Amino acid sequence: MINIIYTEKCVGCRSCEIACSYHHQKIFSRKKSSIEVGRLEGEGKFWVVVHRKAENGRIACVGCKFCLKYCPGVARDELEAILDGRKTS
Amino acid sequence: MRVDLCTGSISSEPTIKYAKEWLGARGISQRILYNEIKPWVTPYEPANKIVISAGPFTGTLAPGATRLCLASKIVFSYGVGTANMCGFFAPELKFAGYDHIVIQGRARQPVYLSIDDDRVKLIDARGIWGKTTWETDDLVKEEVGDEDIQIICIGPAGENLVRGACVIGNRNRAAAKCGLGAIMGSKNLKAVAVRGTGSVEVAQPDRFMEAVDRNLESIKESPRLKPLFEYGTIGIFPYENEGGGMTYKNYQDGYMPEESIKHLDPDIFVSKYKQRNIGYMACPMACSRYYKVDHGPYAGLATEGFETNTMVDFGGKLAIDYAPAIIKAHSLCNQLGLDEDNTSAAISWAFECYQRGILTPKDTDGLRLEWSDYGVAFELIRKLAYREGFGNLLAEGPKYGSEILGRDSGYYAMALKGQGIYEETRLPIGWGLGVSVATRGGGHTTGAPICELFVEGDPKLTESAEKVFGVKTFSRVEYQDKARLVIYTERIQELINSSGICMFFGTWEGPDLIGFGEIAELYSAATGWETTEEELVRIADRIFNVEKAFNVLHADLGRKDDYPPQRCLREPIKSGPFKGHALSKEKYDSMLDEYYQLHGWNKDTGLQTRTCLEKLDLGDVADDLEKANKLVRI
Repeated sequence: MINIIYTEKCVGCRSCEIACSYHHQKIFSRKKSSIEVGRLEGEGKFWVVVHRKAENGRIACVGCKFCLKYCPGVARDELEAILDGRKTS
Repeated sequence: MRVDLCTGSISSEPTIKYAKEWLGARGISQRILYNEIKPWVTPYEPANKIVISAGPFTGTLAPGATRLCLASKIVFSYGVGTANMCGFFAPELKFAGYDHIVIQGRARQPVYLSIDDDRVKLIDARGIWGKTTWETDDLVKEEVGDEDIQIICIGPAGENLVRGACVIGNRNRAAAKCGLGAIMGSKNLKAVAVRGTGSVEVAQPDRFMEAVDRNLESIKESPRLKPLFEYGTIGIFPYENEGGGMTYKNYQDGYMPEESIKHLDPDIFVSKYKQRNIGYMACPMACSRYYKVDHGPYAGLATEGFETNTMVDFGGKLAIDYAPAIIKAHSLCNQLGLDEDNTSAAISWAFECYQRGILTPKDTDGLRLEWSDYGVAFELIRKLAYREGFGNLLAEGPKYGSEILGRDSGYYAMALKGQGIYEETRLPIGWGLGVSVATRGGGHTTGAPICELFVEGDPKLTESAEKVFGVKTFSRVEYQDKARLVIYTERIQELINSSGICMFFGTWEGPDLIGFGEIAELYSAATGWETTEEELVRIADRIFNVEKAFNVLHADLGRKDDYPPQRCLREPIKSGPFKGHALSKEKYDSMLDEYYQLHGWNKDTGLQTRTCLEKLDLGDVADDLEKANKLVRI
């Protein structure tokens, strides 16, 4: 079951996605990443999904939080809460 | 990738044959255009080409390496032009496996280009022709069945061959200058959509990321970037006014009165309208904002925001001092697919002509063009995009519009190399030179230094700026050293634009940020080709000289085209802290002489020399210029 989490502070930059694939596989790839950022640009809304299982070619999130380092400061607390499971919706 | 819209043929070739000599994005596209377009081809002919490019760092975590570059032969000057946009299209193109798309020809009916990794096809776009960019974005996503596909497209302005039509991505990001939307329109190309599921790899990942991390640290620590983190570029707006750069009421002054500008304070946008910050791939700053208006005539309007030039274009040039109207102007231009600088230059030219009785309601479809009247300004934007009534004249831009109108209205057309501008060219002096000599026709992102606004009076910054920029004079009113400063800026911006990273993270914004050495390290690690600062500077000079030669061969541009608009040479700034400041024609001439000499060009004509070109291994360009009798044989 995919849990889509709507964000308040995420800027939608998707740096976390390519940081994840770099950390685990030394490549920059959105589709391999264990984190996925969706952009509803017409509404100014961004959502995040954390893939905790290795499905559809994605890396399973191991909670290493490497992606946090590349998250812009304004959104970092929120991303950390999502990764920790403290923010779930 | 190469696409011929006449035949429908689609092919690909390796980028590597260009990469070592031309770096990427702006550099490679300039060489392709120089090699492949004949001087007698006009911009809207099928034989013209448009090149859509990502850079060598795009798709990685290099700071702000998400820029898309578009280039073509343009309708303002018949020379070459480039425009650059933020957004997700460029990294997605890389994930699909492409660096550049070279498009030629004209489709028999409207089409859009669909790229789904290696599945590339042209799709009938008759159903979306006539739609706004926002509608187009929605309709293509719906047709493809993927909310996440990346799209660049044109609006009605591009379809109607409005000279200042732009290309829009992510609904609100614009490759604004140079009328590239009209080039797409002339090719019946409504949009390009891309989905990439692959990856980007670098040759030496650990070394590359060490360089990225060092750059991110300097960005985090830079005092220069702090206001941008807080406000985005609109935070600069009040300082532009204090610095004499407001271009108020179509450049009648360089200063907006205090009682007006207070209504456009950046804090008003933050406190009343900002919903959240927005950023794009690999950007540590996220300088964009999402705004929503909940009161007044534009209640319900919600859109991603804008840069400081939108504030100057509509707040300064048209004297509109109502914040929601600035948000509305931005969204209207984006939906119709219009460059805000050129559009506001055309409309503020018309407003001034009306003020002076050159235009009357008989000319303007009954509209009264009074300063500050945003309702009239928005009606003119709409008419301009659809070439309706008086808008058909405005659609040609201020320069060509004034030539059609006559009545001595050309003096009020604020344009360079045919293109309407937003920049003040009287102050700062180096900024004005950089804007005036820009190969694409104005604009401050290719050669205009911004450091004159912040270095003076700061001893620590002065020390590092002297070292990095190689000059000693930073005062905004001085002419000394400014030619050298512009050439430094041209070089770094050429490399920033060619590598695909955002200029806010380069030394343009502060001497502590990404310069030649940092780009050389990133490039060496990304490609595995050890590349020095000196080699990169040489590449920058090669690209710049090819742009210059294109303009000489195709458009006969020369010294006469490297001056600020006449008004800025004749009229001083009339109020504010720089009241009375006037540009000296004599000193500007000497500065231009020095600028040409530093480039190794002929001082009197601005034409290139064989010596200069052969030093850069551009003997073929020298031969072309010699055949056209446009080369100085020394």
